[in-house]
Amino acid sequence: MEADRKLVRKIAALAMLGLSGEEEAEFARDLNIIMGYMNRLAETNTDGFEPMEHVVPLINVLRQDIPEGFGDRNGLIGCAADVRDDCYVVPSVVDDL
Amino acid sequence: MSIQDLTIKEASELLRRRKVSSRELTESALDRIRRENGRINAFITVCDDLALSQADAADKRLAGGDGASPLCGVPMGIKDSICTRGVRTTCASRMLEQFVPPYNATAVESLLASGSVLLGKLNMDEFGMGSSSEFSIFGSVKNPWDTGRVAGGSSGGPAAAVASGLCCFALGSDTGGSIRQPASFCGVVGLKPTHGLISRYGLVAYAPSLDQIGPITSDVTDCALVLDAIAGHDPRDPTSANREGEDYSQGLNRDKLPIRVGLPREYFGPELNKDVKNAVFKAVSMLEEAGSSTGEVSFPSTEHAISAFYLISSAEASTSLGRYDGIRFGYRKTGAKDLEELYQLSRSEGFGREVKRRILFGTHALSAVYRDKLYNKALRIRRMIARDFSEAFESFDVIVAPAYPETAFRMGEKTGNPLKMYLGDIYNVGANLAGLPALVVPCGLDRRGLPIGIQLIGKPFSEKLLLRAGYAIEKRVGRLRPPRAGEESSEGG
Repeated sequence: MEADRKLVRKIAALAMLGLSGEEEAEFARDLNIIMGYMNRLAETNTDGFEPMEHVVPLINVLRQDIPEGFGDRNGLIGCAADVRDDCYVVPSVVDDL
Repeated sequence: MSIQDLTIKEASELLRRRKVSSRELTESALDRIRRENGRINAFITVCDDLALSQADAADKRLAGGDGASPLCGVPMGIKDSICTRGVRTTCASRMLEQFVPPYNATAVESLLASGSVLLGKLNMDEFGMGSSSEFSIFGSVKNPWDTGRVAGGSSGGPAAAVASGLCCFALGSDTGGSIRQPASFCGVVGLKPTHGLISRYGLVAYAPSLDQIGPITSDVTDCALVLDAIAGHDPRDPTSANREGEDYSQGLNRDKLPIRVGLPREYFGPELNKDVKNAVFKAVSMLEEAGSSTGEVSFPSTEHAISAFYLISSAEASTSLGRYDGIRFGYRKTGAKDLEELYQLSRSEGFGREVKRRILFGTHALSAVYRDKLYNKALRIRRMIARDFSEAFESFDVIVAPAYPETAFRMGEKTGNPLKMYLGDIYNVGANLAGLPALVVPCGLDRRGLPIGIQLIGKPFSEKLLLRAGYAIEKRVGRLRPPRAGEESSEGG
């Protein structure tokens, strides 16, 4: 697979990134170099090896269902760039009626 | 009293004997940061008033005989990817430039409870993505041994700050060598603990299955003292190991260390700088002097380690960094016409080049067409690498590796070539992929006078043994100190 600017644009859209033309060209070049190096992986025989997502065995950790308050609600909401009446302000998410 | 060159142990003894107060130590450190930080660029944020108030509180505890912890009253710095309540935590990114967390990371909470004094936050590669601390919106960290060279990364700020005596110790984080390589480049001690030994609660996520917080210190004893304070189970981190820490600082100095040391043949090939190779072998002979036996071992999966690491870490990064949408926290671009445009513009302007590169690469690896061929393949290779280590540990207690193929490289030498930058991590990523503890200890200087580190990799939760082995080397090598300002080891090559 040859990465071109069209592919980079598609991946960027999936990742919610808008790129300049210069960035598209740079990342297409980089992706080709990196993927070229990593193509050797495909030739490696990994039969018999299960995917290892985590080094710690995943087990459910249960606790009593008791709510714990965070204690600093204003501190949390205050991290947002735009807040009104204790709510996050965002652009309209519905079309005009 | 100058903080410069004081270890935690030395500072603690002076504090207990009332030869110096925490306020004096803290004022000295702040003064030194004011004078030196322009040269090294290790600190992003310095919190003078907070530090002095914490120092006064520590002095009261010490005066009242409540200075139980050797860390009480000792000034520290924290990597800027670890949350500190009321002190901005930027990850060296425009995305979090104004982020002031309303909570502390558990590791920070433990250190503050011990009475340590927070001097400020330390520079790094943006979101931990880099091996040179050049990818920071606050500018590159300079190596105190030669300011024309990098301090390593991504915890370049913590390593450079400790090496240049701006703080007694620091916390860094390590996803693929980010504590160990800068420790090696700056001539200090750095430990990446076993995955799960130290809580990750409050560590800004890069690749959660690989990330780990760890100490960066002047010597091995200090490393053990910090580990004493921060190791242990934390219910707020679901991947925290359900076990308590040990008394790591006791019994470090052993007359005899009869351990079995394995040398992977794949780690000592032609790509390894000769000075580094010689220094590491010399350190191994020091372990033999202490009673250890050595033997060769093979890690056949080494050739795939970098590919597997960058696929997995980038895939996890693309997911972890999905939370930066400009809404609840982080950078927000104003004037977007709709929600989608707000996401796109905020992320495009908030993230730097290297972060975008890895998000794109990770998104590609996780896309429907390539998931099996790339991401799942990398996960299988990860298990092969973990098997290499577990088989080696049937015959050996400790695996020895260089911390990096060369000593600190020049500023700008690798920033234009991402693959070249990635390939240098070859000896480090295995410990992250397999979740193993790994300690870097200075073991000599190269012909330019730049520090070299040896890496000791152990079985899960064998930190105590690694620290003992590191101590045996340190006892014979001695502590390395960078030249003073204006006396750096600059040369032509």
